[in-house]
Amino acid sequence: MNQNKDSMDEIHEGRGGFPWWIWLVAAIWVIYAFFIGPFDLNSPLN
Amino acid sequence: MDKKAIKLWFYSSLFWLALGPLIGLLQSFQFLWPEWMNIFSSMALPYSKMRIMHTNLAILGWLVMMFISAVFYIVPRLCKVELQYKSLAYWAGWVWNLALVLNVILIWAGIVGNPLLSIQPMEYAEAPMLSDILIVLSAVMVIASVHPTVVRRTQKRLYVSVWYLLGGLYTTSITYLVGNFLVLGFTGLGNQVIEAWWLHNAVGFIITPLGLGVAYYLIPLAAQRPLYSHSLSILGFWTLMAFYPGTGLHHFLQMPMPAWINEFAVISSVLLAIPVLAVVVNFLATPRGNWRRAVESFPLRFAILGAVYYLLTCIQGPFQATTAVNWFIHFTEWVQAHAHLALTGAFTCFGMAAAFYMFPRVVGRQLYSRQLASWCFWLMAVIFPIYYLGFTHAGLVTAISINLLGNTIYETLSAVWLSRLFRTITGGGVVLAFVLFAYLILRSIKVGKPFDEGMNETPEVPNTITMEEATA
Repeated sequence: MNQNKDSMDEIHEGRGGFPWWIWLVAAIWVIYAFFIGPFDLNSPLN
Repeated sequence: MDKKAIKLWFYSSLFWLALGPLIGLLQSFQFLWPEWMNIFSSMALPYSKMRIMHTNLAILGWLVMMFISAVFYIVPRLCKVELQYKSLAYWAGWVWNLALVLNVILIWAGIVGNPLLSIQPMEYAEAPMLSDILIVLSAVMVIASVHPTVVRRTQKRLYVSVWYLLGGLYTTSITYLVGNFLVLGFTGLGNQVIEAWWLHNAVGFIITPLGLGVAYYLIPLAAQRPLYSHSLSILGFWTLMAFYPGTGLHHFLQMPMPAWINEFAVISSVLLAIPVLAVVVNFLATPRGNWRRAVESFPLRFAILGAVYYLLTCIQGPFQATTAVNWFIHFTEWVQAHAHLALTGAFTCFGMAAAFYMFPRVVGRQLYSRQLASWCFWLMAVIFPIYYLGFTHAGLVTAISINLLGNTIYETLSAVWLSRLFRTITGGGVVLAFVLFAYLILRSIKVGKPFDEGMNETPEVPNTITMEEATA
């Protein structure tokens, strides 16, 4: 039998943060969303 | 016993799960063979009515009812106090069900011109006023039970699930009131702005906080690991609350709205990346070092699958909300595919995880078949993504045909027929997963082995052969 002891309600919490690559992804996303997308890739219908 | 309320909301949600997606499947036949429209129309069920039933039952029937069942299970345990006013919680379930039954009957009846009984022409808020009133009454009853439970807690520190679940109940009520009642006081553009606010917050402020609250509870317990990060969990909660309200207008970028409203919506949508990353990093980093639990524990498997779908849908969402992309995919099935990735993929997986976790602990029986649970999982993990891609493909073909090639919708229909067939077949697989899931649970009530805390939710894998068995 697997010991699936979850003690019903006790959930411990760690002190982790965003891994480094998240910051990289976020920076790329912000640059795309605010600085490239709106100016460079607009609809040809506009 | 709070179990009475949990069970009522739980079993009701299974019924609506079996019905809502099935209606969606029947809708998809009409795209392939339009004569089916005549068959359903002859039963006073044209496509437009079926669409309303499909979305209303999937959202308010399956997802919200399963999550509220989980609220009644989780909040008292995290607060270390019994659920308060249990009879309110129980009767709220009947009121909610009554609202949904009335919803179906009145939509089917299609009464015209009655302010209380007629279908309302607003997406996701089509339910007649009578049904709306009952939903709000039920939500108030639920809050009247859960809020005092949190107030009278003996556990001083609130785990993030309680933030999400209690906050989610309040945002559910506020969102529903605004989208179904306040909106009626406005006409023209004002009406549409509020409609857009409601449209997206039906997902962001009703389904999302409840679903994430449930997943935050399940993942550390099922993985038997501490939650990766307390600070990320709080960051995710408050940024969700801060950025979500502004997003709705990205649905109407193609409409004559004031530009600043559209820009606000796009920026809000892009900023949603913050809570999404905070949540997903927390979910996926928590089982680190104990990933074998994902094999043993179906709640963990489904919750992690849900987290992956949540990440994908939330990458796609802000991306398609930008004007650079939106002009292309708007008014195509790409958008419905996205909605299915969120609701049928991410949040249904969270709901199934909750069901697999709660059932043995509430009913006292294991789920009787590990094999059947595996079938449900693999249908959701393999067939669902293919279904989603078929759906998306139909949207892309439509977008290319109409937006780039300048074809009419009539010229486009034959181009998307095959991808729609593909969608229907694989969609049938997804509906099969739901039917198997409901069957597994209902059958386990009778034949499941007695469950004790510390056991797995499903029977063990016979992965070791004893010497006696090997030599037998």
